Amino acid sequence: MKERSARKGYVRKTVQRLTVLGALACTIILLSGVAVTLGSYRIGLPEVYMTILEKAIFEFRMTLGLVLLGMYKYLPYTGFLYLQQNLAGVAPPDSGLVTIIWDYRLPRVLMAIIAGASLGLAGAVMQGILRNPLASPFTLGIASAASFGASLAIVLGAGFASSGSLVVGNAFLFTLIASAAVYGLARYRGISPETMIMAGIAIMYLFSAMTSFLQYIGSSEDVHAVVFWMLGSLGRSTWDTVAKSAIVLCITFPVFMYLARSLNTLAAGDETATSLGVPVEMVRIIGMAGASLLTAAVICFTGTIGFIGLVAPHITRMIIGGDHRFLLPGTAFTGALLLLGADSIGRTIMAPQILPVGIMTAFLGVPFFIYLFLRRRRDYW
Amino acid sequence: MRKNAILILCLLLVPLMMVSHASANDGNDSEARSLMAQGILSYLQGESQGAPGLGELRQAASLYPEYPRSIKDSAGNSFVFYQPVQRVVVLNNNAADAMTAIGADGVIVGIAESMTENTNQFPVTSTLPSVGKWMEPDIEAILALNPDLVITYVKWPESAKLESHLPGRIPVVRMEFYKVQSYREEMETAGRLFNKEENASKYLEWYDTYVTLVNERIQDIPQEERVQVYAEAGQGQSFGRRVYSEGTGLDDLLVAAGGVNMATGYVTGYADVENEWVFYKKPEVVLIWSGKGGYKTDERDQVIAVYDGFTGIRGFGTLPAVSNKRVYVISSSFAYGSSFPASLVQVAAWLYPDRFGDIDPVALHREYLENYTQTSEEVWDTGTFYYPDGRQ
Amino acid sequence: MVKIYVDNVRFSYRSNPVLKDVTFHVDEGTILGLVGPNGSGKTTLIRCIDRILDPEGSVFLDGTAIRDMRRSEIALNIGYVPQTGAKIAAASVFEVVMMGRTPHMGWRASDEDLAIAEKAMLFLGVENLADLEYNELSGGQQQKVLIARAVAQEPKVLLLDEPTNSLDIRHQLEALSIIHRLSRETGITVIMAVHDLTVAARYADRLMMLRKGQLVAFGTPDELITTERIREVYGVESKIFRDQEAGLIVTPLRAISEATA
Repeated sequence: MKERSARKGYVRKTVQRLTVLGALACTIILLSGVAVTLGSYRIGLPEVYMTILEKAIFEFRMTLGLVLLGMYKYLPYTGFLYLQQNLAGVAPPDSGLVTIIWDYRLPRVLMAIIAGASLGLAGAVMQGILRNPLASPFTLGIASAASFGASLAIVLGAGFASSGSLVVGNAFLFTLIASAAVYGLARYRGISPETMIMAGIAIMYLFSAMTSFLQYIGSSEDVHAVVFWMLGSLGRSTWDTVAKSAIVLCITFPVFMYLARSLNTLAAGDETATSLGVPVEMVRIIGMAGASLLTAAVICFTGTIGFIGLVAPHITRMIIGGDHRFLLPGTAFTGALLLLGADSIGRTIMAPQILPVGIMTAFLGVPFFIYLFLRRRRDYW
Repeated sequence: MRKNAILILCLLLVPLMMVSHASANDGNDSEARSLMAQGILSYLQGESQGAPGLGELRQAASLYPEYPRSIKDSAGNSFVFYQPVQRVVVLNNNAADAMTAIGADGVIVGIAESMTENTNQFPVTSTLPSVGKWMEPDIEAILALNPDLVITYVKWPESAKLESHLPGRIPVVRMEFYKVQSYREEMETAGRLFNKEENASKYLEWYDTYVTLVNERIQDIPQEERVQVYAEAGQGQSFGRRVYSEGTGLDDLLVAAGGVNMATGYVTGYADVENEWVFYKKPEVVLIWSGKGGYKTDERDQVIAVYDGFTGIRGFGTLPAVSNKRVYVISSSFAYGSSFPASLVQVAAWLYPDRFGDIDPVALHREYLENYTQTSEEVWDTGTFYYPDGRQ
Repeated sequence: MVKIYVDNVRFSYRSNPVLKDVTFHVDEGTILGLVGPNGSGKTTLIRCIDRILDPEGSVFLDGTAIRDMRRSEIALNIGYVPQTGAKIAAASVFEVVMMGRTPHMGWRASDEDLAIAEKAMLFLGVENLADLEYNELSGGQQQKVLIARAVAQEPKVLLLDEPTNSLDIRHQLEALSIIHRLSRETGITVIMAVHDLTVAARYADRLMMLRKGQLVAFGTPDELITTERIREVYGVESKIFRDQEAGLIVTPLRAISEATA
């Protein structure tokens, strides 16, 4: 009997962790369900869901119909006619409700989930590959590079009204430039957590200084726009931005999950990980590139939302431990929950006024983080 | 002993001078006289604060009969001037704009850095030497220009950045020159400050004519028939919708023009709001503030982009304001300041076209450009003061 | 049978040579103790054998140069126990031991992996610590857990860097007798860097002495440990006793100055 005890605890913990993950996922679904009913325009609960359902069915039929129409060559003529009539008969649901729910609320809610998940995930990976509890997507100068890219577009370009895509593109581009610079610098001295953090800090200060310089030479309304960009907001979410961020998340998440075991081993140090067969440098490069991409794909649309990437991994680690196979999805869920919760409160507490999501995230996340931090007596990092 | 000698000299001198200029005295005569007496007394008592110098007293007495005069600025500070100001450092556009409107821009000798870019609006003033950031001026640069006055906003820069470093002989007069509530009074003060009372009253006469005209035509509109207006900051200022409510210049403008700001009662100042709030509130007219355009000739695209950015929001096509083409982007350099009568008439015409059909706001605006700015009416054709403006 | 053959291994940090033409071999199932003063290159040599560092010269495992082996292949054959002291964030003891299964297991741990990890913990007597946080353990417990991790790795060669460094005498004895037992029971080949000559003499089959990156002597403890050699390599006058029960005992007397050495 005694022989089984050691792994029993491990197996029990695994079950616990899966339960927590399930619970987090359910909470997100539940909260999203609530979040779409929140807004300055009061719409009844059944109406909200009927609208979503109708619109979803409508979109599905349209898409399916168009695909089938595209294949008309292969359909018998009568089938083609039937389809055409059928499609013509499909009426879009009431446009006012659809606009509010389908065009405004759903993208915002989905963007909160995707952005929260992405930033949390990027933070967890950064903390893992750098073995540093203070690492976040922004440690390696990613945020300051994005801010600089955006500022450059705002101040020297045409401001972001006329060229939203220029701001987004520039923010994204400079994030990648910063990552490449950090990689290059660290590579020169040998890739290690220390070299990467040092290089990252150097790059961060460089870009911060350049942003300050742009603000210095910019007109006051440009400066205002830059400051606003750096505050972060989910207000510009559309189906288009949701889709773009989601695609990057869907590509990077499986890669990170594949690396989970290696990340676990990396916690024991580079030498140990190497001797256990982990290609340390490769994991670090892939992790950094993935986390940068993930962060860039979110903050280029939302502006800098800084706090989640730092705190969501810690909250999750304190709840379900450091095994990245559970930590990564868990952090994604926690991040999503934090951001969605913060945004939902931020846009209802003083409705119709919206409070900046970054501020709400801190108000919501910090007390929770401190609670866990104080309750936890063990030396977890 | 020496002081007594000067006292006797002055007592002999002053009445003499006053008598000799008696014929030139105007309505300010008694004020000037009592100020002169105060000034002399404080000089004689050797007061360290605010006492005039002998030279000043002498000049006021001999050359400027209507001086000394007292000025009270919008920060509540009083100043006594013993002669007209001749060298003024101006730290913002609004002050330069106001001074230009009353023909006092000739005494400006230094400007804030940001103003050097306004070559279209101030072809003359913008070429003057810069004294650094308007929020953080370079004190040495100011001193180097040897001004006898600095003029800036009521709150900014804080006195710790300005007055504390400047010697007492360079007063800092604080006035807004953009708020509707205080504009008239500030212009009167400016007239006295720069010794341009005549121009100031001419300008204010023009100002009053149109403010009164608009007010008369809209005052009988019952509250429920007034146009519901949504006013926002435009996309340069936020990611989403930043609404302007009570306490903002845009609100002052639209309320003066007879509109009802639909954000009144929901928010004060400005706030970020959801698209859906605008969507279901269904504004009849939308006013969007823009820092772009105005006198600048190369920012038309950006103003149009602000317009398109709003009308292009999903679902906004169904708003009455959008479907009836009653969305207007208005440049800040047109909306506030000395052009207020022109912008007021323009906004009123947008809100109530049937009540202002007989007035041509463009002609009024052109008249303003011709008479009260450093430019001429042709600027109307090259700048973008609002959009749509009937041009391509 | 030769298990590990180290052929002319040289290594420099920047331009500072740390190992100079080291050549030796270790037979299968034996325990080799690496001794020598601080900075003599013991740790570097161990890292070179595991190819954590990439030296000039070659290291052969069963006749194959490890340079030609894939990282995962090396991990299947060679286990490495680093010095303690490094923290491992948010990991339970069982998770740390499970890391040893990394080269064997896929993304999901099989029942077999769990069973092997558990067995390794039993072998080291740390099974009751399984659910504790690794960082909360004492130095001695951490040392045992790290050895258990290497045992769970099921390597054919085990490299240990100062396994008794942070241990009190009781734990030193425990740890080394476990390593000794492991080698005898499973036929595993062990190379360990040891500070204490007495301890090294007692548990190692062969000793190898390094000094400033050079191999000074190689042989059985009895052949290798002499007062002359200790004076030459460590610069210390010493006395050597031989006890029936304790074996060879080295007692340092005093350091001698560079001039006389």
